[in-house]
Amino acid sequence: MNSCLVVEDSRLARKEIVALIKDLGSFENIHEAQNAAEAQELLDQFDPEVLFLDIHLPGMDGFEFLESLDKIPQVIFTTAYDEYAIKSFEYNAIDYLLKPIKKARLEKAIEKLKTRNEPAEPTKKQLSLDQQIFVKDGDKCWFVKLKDISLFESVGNYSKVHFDNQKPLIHKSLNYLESVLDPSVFFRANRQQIINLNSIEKIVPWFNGKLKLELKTGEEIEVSRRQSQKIKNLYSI
Amino acid sequence: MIKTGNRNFWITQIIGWGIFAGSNLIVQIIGGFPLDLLLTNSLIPFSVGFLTTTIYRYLIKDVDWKYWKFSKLLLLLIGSSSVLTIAFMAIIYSILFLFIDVEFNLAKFLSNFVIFGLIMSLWNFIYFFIHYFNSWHNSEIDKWKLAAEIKDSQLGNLKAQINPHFIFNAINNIRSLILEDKEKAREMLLNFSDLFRYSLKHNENATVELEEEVEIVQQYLELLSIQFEDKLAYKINLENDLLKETVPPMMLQLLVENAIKHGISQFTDGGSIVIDIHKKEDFLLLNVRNTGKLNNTVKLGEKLGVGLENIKKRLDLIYTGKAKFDLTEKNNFVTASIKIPLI
Repeated sequence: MNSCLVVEDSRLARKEIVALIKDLGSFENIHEAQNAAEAQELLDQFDPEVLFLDIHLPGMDGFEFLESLDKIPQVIFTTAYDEYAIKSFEYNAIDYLLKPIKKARLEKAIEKLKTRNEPAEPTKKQLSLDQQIFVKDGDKCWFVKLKDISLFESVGNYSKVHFDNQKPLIHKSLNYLESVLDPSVFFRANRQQIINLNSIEKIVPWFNGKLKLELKTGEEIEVSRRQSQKIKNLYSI
Repeated sequence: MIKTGNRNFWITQIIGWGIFAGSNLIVQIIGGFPLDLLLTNSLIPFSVGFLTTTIYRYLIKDVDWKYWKFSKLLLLLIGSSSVLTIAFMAIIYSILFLFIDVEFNLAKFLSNFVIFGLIMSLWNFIYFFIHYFNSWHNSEIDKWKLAAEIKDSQLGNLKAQINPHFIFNAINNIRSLILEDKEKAREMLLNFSDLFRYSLKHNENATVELEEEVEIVQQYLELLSIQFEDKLAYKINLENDLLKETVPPMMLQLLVENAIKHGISQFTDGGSIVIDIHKKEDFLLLNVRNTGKLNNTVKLGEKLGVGLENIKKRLDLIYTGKAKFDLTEKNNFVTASIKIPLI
């Protein structure tokens, strides 16, 4: 793999993990950040494939940092001791390393990343369907691929993300989401909702030339008049 | 308790009276009674019995008889059984006279009185027995729970002595330091072992000399410095004539831990901690001041103040209310202060 980014606030701990990664020789470039702000800069500049992220960071913690990102690389969490976080990782099969980190364990984590299918190269601004987002709901957290999301619903400045029977909130507005999601898959049905076209089960004519959509997950979506016309054109109804 | 108790009551009530009516019916069918008598003899006593005992139950439900003396309870049982029987007989005979028009037969009346008296007493006995057993059973469960809670909190206190997050970070940092500065790494391991031994040695309520506690806090701060490096500045002000005064062990350490957790570690640029120990009148004052703000958003499911709550409890236990704990904010500095009476 090309490059990775280590985010860790303690210099000695950073030195330790960087030395381990170097030893394994899996990455050509290893970037280092000591807080979220620095990490953000390096992400923008180098677009690393893997993020080694400490949960405890000054200012913005690891979770908040991920929630603030649109595009998330593969993430391996690192922590000294966090009962709650580790419980939620195990629940979700998210990978994490406990400090002090064992070389064999680090090697395994990197191997696991390599076997996962490489995400398709996204266009500059729009997110590809294999891209993942990070959502956190109380003490649970997930990495969710965009293609697995059936519906985004507006709740003030937040949006509710529907996937897998879960519907946590993310701190992004629906308008913002519409601007970054792939319009050939994600469709603004009305002021409140963006749907995944692949999750439509049934299209039903409604009154006033409007349409009603039934999703595979059971939700019924009323499409605004203008958007109904687009659907009709799209499916040549 | 009330909810399942309610359901259990109705089930027992219906089954009990059902058995009564059913057995009555069977005996009479075998005895070859005519059909209309069958009904009056089973259905009416069943309904009236059901009704009177249900009303009685609503009256008795809120009486707290569980801690009564036995004699008083016996009196209640006999009295209520009698009242129940009289009420029951009165209703039954009114129905019989008003609607069915039977002749009064004194022998039959008396035998009925005895039989239903026994049935009502039985009902009463069963009711009281079940409730008595239930409350005994519940109090046993409560005792178990309490014992488990006490044990839990004792273990919890022990665990709270050194934060595991600190322990693993320290080990990780020392591991890295070995490659960089062997001598310093060796020194840090000594600090770590002193701190750990100190936390194991002292129990909750004893006190230690200030000299010892401050020495440990000094070592603790040195260990924190390999984590925070130039992001942590600290200073300890202590007058020499206070070295032999006593304080609860690990308390100053816990204040520093809090100062780190809610102050220094939250800021990209870190901050400073100033420990100030002095005497004022008959009190010893311990102040720990750190960069930060009160009510800084608490993250990762940790509650601000659990540790501080424990400090308060310990102070109350050891100094029986004569010690004081305070947390204040001024000019972007948070100060935790403890006031302990000098002996």
